[in-house]
Amino acid sequence: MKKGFFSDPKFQGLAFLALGLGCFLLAGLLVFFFSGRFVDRPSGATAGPALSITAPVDKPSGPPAGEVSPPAPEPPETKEWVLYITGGVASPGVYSLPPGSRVHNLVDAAGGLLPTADPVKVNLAAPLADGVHVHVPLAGEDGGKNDIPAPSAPQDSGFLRPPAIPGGSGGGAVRVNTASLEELQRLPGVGPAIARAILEYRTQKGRFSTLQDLLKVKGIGPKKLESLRDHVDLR
Amino acid sequence: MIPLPGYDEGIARAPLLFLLGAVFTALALGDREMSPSAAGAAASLMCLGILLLFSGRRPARFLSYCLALFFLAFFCSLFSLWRVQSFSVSRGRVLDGGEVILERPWGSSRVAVVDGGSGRYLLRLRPDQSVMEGETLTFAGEAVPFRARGDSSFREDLYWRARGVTAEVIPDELLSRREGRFSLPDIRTALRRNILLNLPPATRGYLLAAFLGVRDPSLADDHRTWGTAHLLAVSGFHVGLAAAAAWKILSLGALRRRLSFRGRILAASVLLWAYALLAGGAPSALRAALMVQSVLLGYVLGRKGSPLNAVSLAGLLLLLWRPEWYADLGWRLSVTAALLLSALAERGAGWRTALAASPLVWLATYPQTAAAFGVVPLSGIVVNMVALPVFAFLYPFAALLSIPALAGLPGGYFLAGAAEGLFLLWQWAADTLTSFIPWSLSWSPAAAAAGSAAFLASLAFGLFRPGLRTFGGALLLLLAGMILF
Repeated sequence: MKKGFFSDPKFQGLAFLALGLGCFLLAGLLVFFFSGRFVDRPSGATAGPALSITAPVDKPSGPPAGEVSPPAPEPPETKEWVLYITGGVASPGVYSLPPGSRVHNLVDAAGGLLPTADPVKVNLAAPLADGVHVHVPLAGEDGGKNDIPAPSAPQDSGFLRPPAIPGGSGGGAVRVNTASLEELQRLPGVGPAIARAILEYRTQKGRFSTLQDLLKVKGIGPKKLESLRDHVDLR
Repeated sequence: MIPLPGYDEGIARAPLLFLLGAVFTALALGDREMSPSAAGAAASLMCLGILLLFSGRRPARFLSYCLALFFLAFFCSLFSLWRVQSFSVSRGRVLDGGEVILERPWGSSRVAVVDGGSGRYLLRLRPDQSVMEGETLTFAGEAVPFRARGDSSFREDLYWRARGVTAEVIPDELLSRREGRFSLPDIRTALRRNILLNLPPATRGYLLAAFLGVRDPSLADDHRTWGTAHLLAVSGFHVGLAAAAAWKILSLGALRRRLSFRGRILAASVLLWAYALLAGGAPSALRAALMVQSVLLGYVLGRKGSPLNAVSLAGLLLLLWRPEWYADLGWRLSVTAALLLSALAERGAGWRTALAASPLVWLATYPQTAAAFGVVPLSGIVVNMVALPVFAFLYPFAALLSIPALAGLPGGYFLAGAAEGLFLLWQWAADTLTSFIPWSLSWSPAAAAAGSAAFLASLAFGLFRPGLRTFGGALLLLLAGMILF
């Protein structure tokens, strides 16, 4: 039987070698001639569902649709944050941590919590900022002298602004640590008696560090606390 | 079913590897501003060229299979490139709301990813703006294109798009509330809080990394020094451990009697995906979960698959789902290491393979790690040889010892203390080992070429018969890669 060219293993090997090299050569030519030629032109299609575009919400000074708003102001970039921690940690003092660290990172840097520290009174997940002082209260100690950055004031940017209280005069959360008797009564389900109890508690025991502290006020139970949760500001 | 040619040759062992290579090459060529059709054609031609050059055994219909793979590679490449290049963001004001599914530091600020009603959005927050995963956010702000970094090759747009984000929003109105729903981000936040409050420092850091993919900054620094940073990112190692643990539990006497083999495979699959998603769904975790899933399916179907094909399938599915993964360092490192280890496994596992694995993975991943981080510690070669078996024991053991503390049982903290002691012992051992090899290798083209050569040669010798053809082909591929990229 006569053998064809491709039936001969020797020539077949050479032919596939040549074909393979030819493929590489062709691919190289394509790259050489077409690299940098294609300018990515956006098709105008929106990836995913269309964005919902609406008029600004109670922000009359906002930029009109279609314009790019300036980026949110950012703090000056620092390579490391210098932070101060005192109280119930193994080694209180000043520490340098990378930006973006949280309270638990600072606590770790300070050797961890002492057995006598009260882990409930310090929010280990709270974000830090350069130059803050964190105080970890000991068990039985009232509150903590922390300057952990709280969300910026509502009048600045509207950030984390709690929902307006139905019937409230100005909307926004009530700062239970500084509010007057009248302001406290803007909270849902809080009448003069409970507002007075809150003031009395604040006078006798000091600031409310956590929402759970409100449970110690006469007249506030778990159910009421749930209804207050979104309307209370602990700053 | 169509019989595959040459059972011990490349195309029959791992056809998807060539497809993965072609799609990845096409996406990289797309970055060089080639049109999708030209980039797809060039990548597919390279794929065909490799098959023709490397394959020593060419049984009947070999050319037909090669051509079928060529056209499949072309269409997959075209599809992926079209998806990457057709993306654009419509600028405008957005009012939406949804659950925070990710919150993390980002440079000097923090970012949150919100699964909104009309898309997934990236919100850039200031460091003092506290948002937790699982919270429900309502926001209003301006949708803007992703930022480009002039001083770095890092593609922020591709990073976020690979995570499904459709637009970046600068919020000027933000309203947060916790709804107490039973959702994955809620579970992550609850577990994170429980771990943070109830475990000692080192155990806390390691379990946060293993279960939630959250990196403790000081631990991350230590592991970077030791060259074992991958232990803190949920990778194939962690997913493999989780799968092994699940299978072990499902094979215990009572469960084994109650569940059929297929039932146990199904239960193991559910546990596997639950872990991968709980841990944050990082590319390495998803890749490993897909790979283990394909192996489990192979068991059900009674087919023993090739490890290389399983890794390729996982990498390819991720690329077809979200082609932007190709630019993700985590995806690249994970696929590189997994492909290399699978190629070694194709030639059989033994003590020589085990010894060669660590230096080869170090070398193969060097070009990317050195390009991204500047320097790569040499100690990683040795420390990894010790670290992997140590952590294969330490992670499950520490998790077991931490359960009483996490459940709030009395005395639980002392049990977790035992795990803490073991972690501290490991840290001492790693420091000691690193002190013997304190040098690091900065970026060098020669070392990068050596790393790429080690990777390509390992793949070639894992798939094809050792010989002049395989050696020459690997060399040609390396040259082509160096010229093109």
